[in-house]
Amino acid sequence: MPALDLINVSKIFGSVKAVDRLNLQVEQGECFSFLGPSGCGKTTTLRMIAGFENLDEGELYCDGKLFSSSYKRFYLPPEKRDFGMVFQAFAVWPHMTVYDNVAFPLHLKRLQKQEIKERTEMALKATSLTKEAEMFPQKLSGGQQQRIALARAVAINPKVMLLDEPLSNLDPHLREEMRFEIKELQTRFGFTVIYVTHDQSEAMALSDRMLVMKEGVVQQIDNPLKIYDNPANKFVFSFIGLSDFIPVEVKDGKVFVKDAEDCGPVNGQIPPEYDPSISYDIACRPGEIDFSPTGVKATVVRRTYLGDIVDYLLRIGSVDIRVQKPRRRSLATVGETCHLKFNRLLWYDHSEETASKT
Amino acid sequence: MNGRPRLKKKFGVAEIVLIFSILILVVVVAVPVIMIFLTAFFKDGHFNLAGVIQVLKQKDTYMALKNSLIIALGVTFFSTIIGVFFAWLLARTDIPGKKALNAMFMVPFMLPSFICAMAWKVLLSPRSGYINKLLMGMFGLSHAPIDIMSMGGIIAIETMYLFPFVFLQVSGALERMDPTLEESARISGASLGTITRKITLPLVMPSIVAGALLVCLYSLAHFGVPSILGTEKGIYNIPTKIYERIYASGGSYEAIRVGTILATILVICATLILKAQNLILKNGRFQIIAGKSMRPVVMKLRGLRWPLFFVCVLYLLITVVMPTVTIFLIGGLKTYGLSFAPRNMTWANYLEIFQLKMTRNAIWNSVYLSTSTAFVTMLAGMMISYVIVKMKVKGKFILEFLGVLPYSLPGTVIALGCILTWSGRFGINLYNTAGIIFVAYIARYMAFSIKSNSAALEQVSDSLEEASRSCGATHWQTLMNIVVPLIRPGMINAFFLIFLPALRELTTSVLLYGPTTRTIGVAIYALNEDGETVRAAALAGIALIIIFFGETVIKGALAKFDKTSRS
Amino acid sequence: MADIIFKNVSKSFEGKQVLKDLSFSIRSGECFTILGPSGCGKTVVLRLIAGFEIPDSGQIIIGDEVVADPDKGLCKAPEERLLGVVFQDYAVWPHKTVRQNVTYPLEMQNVPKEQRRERSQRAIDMVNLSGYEDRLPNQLSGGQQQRVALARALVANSDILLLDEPLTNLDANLREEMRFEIKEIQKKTNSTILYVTHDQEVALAISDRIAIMTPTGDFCQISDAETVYEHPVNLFGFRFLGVANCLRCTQKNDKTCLAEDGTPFVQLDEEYAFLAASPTFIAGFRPMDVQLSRTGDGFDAVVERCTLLGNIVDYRIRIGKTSFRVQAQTEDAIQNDIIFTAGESCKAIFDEMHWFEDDHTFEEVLV
Repeated sequence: MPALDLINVSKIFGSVKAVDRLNLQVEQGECFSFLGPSGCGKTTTLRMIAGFENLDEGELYCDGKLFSSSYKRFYLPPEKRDFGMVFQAFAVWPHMTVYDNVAFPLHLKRLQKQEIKERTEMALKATSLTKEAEMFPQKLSGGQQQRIALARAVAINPKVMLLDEPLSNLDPHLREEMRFEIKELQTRFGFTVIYVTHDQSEAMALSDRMLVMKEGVVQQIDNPLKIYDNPANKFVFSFIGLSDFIPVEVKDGKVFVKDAEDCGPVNGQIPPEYDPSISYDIACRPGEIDFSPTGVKATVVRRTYLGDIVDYLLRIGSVDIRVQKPRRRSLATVGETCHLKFNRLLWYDHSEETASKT
Repeated sequence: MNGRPRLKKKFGVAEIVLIFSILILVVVVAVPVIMIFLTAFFKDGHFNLAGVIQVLKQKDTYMALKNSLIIALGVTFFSTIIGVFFAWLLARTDIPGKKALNAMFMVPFMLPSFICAMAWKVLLSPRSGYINKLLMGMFGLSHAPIDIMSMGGIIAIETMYLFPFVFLQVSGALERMDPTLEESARISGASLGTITRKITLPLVMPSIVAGALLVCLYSLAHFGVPSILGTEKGIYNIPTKIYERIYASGGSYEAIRVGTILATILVICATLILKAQNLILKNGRFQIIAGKSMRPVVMKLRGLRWPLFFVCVLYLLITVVMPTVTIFLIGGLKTYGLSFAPRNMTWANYLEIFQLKMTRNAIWNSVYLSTSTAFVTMLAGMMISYVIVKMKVKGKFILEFLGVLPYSLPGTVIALGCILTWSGRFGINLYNTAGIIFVAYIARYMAFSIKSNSAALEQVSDSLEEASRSCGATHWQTLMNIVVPLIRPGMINAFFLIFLPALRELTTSVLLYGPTTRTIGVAIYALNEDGETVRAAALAGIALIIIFFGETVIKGALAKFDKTSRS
Repeated sequence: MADIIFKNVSKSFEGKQVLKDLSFSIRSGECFTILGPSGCGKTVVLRLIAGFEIPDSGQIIIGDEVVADPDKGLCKAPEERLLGVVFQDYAVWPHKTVRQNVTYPLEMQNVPKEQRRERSQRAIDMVNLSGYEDRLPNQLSGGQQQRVALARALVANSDILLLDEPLTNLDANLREEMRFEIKEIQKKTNSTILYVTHDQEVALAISDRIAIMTPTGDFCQISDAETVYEHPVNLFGFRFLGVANCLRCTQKNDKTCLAEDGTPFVQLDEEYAFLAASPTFIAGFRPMDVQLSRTGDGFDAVVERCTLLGNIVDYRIRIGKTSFRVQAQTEDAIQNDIIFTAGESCKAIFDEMHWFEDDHTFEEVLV
């Protein structure tokens, strides 16, 4: 039985389809991320799962129980869904102590006093907040406040934990630390986690599986490595990690960079589905390009030293591409001509959209 | 640009400005306050605590104090309940017409409460009140069912016009509150009732308290309503008591001395209230403002939607429309007491206001005084705020202290202090001239100006000025090109924050006016006291029009001008 | 073109000594970065040069002119120094349009009207804001406001630019883009740039020389990016410039081992043989200085954690009882089959090792 089952879920705001027929099954104990640019519908989906928005179309089941259905006109309000939720702005109640914050949901469930005490203390211990139990949230740092929110969710012992960009308001060092803590909590307690974020390294680091979303439509659902290495389309390829796109043309069975025939052929295989009437881009990661004695000719336009990695901007004809190599294998200097070998190439329709990175 | 570079002098422009600012505040604010304490506690050069206690023991002063406290507490209590109720209704339910209601709830702020008290007296006085007569006729009663000339009446009327203080604070807090604070309670399993009780209300408590304390302070210091509704029946509060003593004795020094003793009590109460506010707010002001604008949890009223909307409209009809209409109608009567049949109505009274020297003078005095006070205070406040917020000079804490001082001082106290200071003791005699009202107003409103200008200045980060300097602009050029344009809205705000209250105030000028220096408030009050109800109402009607014009038309036009002038 | 020279400059605030006897110089036309943690005093250096602060003692010379010499009572006001300054919060005036912001320095410097438009347009074009001239700042994004600040600084003085952490408030992608733009602008105008930051990534990417400032306000090393990164002079500089593994080692019977449990480790360089005399010393290396493999040469190790972070794979590896961090480019990791699951064993080869004295300033570091 999946922990969460979303069937054909859609949400419409005015004339805009914020979420378009989403189908998803999240397994028990899975850490699942929703990833996409801002406005893509990931937060709306989470809020529908939580119950703060109702779905306009489709059905939502949790552990086999129906939570919402447009066909049966059924809607269970958030307070009855028994989820644990962590918000981006922490949403920790400033007028209650840390202890009372964590115990509040347990009081609402009308548990026995002893059980409330035990669960609260357990949650505080799991998030390293035992010492701060009697303090008020304003006196604590951002990271500690986020832990209060986590403890509060953990204490309920929910089946499913919903996290809405929980680390965005923390500074980068803290984000990494908290990421590990969240993962550890999940492994320890075995919750199913739904994690919404726009930060791809966060999603990749935490998830068992993730979905990439664009303008309300799911692009790909898979594990992080597959999404990185076998992206479903151009958008996913460009959204995750760094990417280079090079317009090409095929002549005499050889692949050339468009309008740069004199630089020589690219060492790429023409894919079996190749259609001469379509303009193609080849795509690869900046780390998949090597300097080699033979191969397509390029000029080094810019060399940026980043420490362990050196970042190059190379020009082939009129096309600029980025190459990143570990410092020890970065010998080319600005102005030099060099030759490039591509370790792996994906072929995409030139007119397909990529993710914009502003 | 080729001047020899010099190290900053030990004693430069900054220091001069600081000293000048301190001087202004000392002369205008500190001296009058000190004079009050000196007069109260020192007699013939000796510390005179016994005399003070004797005054306090007298029955009528003791009663005035008691009444002041009872009224203030009652008004605070009811204003809080009404203010919180309406704020919650508009911010957390799906009541219709929110925008319109929000605007309408601000109108009681604009109405001078003593004018409304006059209207209510006409409607609900025990012997001749129109509504009482109506009800007595309808139900065949032998005496008037509602007596507005009572403690209860005073409390009710003050509440009607003071509750916006609470309403504003609370609705602002509710609207700006981070909705995830309530959402996280919801997902934890809390019903809307529990959320309101355990999350929303406690978080909004500091704003409720802030509003309530403002109301309390205002009520303690208020002259108009208790004077119109209470004096006839012998109900006094401290400001009206001070007035009564001084005018009964024709302005004798002894009466003034008694006044200062009572005033001291007022000051002590005011200070205690402000201290309490600081304490509560310091511990309790939570960071609950949201970054993103998301929709908060809204309660669905279902069947109660339109009934509650109707309740709001009814409230506004009663508190705003009825008194206003009454004033205009009374002003149109040929003689007071006649029924409102068309044959009894005339425009003559309104026209007469502009023909009678006394009333014409009053209008001119008020407009002239408010404009000049607002202008001077705005500029002085700006200079003083600049020193406090932006300059790095030693000793500016003196300014901070002096600047906030008059904030807590009731108008009566300032008036008394000005009488003591500016009646020739130090060589300058402004008594019975417009000048004394002018300095009293400056003292009264300086704190508003400083607050408003400081808030605006704090928005102008230091780097904005430094960027200008690094582009080649001198300090003065930076002020003119960068700082002033950016704080202009704050300055204009300060101007209106002073101009409009000054235009319609009564409490201070009633103790300071001379035969030719009546203000509008004083003129209306005097006419009313003399029994010229119809003339008083006509003048009041015109005053309402002027005020309404100022609040809406001028303010609105300036706001629009500011927006367009920026592009 | 001008040099900037600091001679024995000291400055304290409210009794706290921030800078003491600081001397250094910035060469004309170079991009000089002061890199250090928050509160170390780097911004104070910038403000002293700009004229917003007055030194307690010492001299500040810009070009041929002494602009500050407190012993002689000399201190030129900021409006007379005319340097291009870009502030951390941009300090773009909200009531002026882009063009008005950029033209302001020309107005203040009484440049003839005919020249103003041309010069301000040139600066606006150089920062790629053509077409936005009549917009107000609240209609611009953070990155665009940053460019307005840059254009304004260029117009005020394109010879010397002082930038105070200008990219901190931008998101990662924009930071990268702006980094390149600043470098491009420097190439075009040949300006002398002083850049102050705590972000080592930016420092390495754009600087000709980097000065690492310690929390006590001294420079522990001034050199070009590669030298500062690959040949750190002390532990502070090493750790500040990026993720750093620092393992405590001891010398036992002529063999270098990890202090925690005596497991044999990379042997001490001959150059640093003197460190063997101390009870402990530090071996430092970067996460990418370690090559992992499933079989083959190297130290026996266990993979505690392997996380895919996009174009980098991040590992936590343990030798004996000591853990450290390793990174590899994802493409290399896939190619060399080193995407592990937690608990697997592997082999680790160290390409490079830095040796330092143990200054006991930290517990075993694992970032």
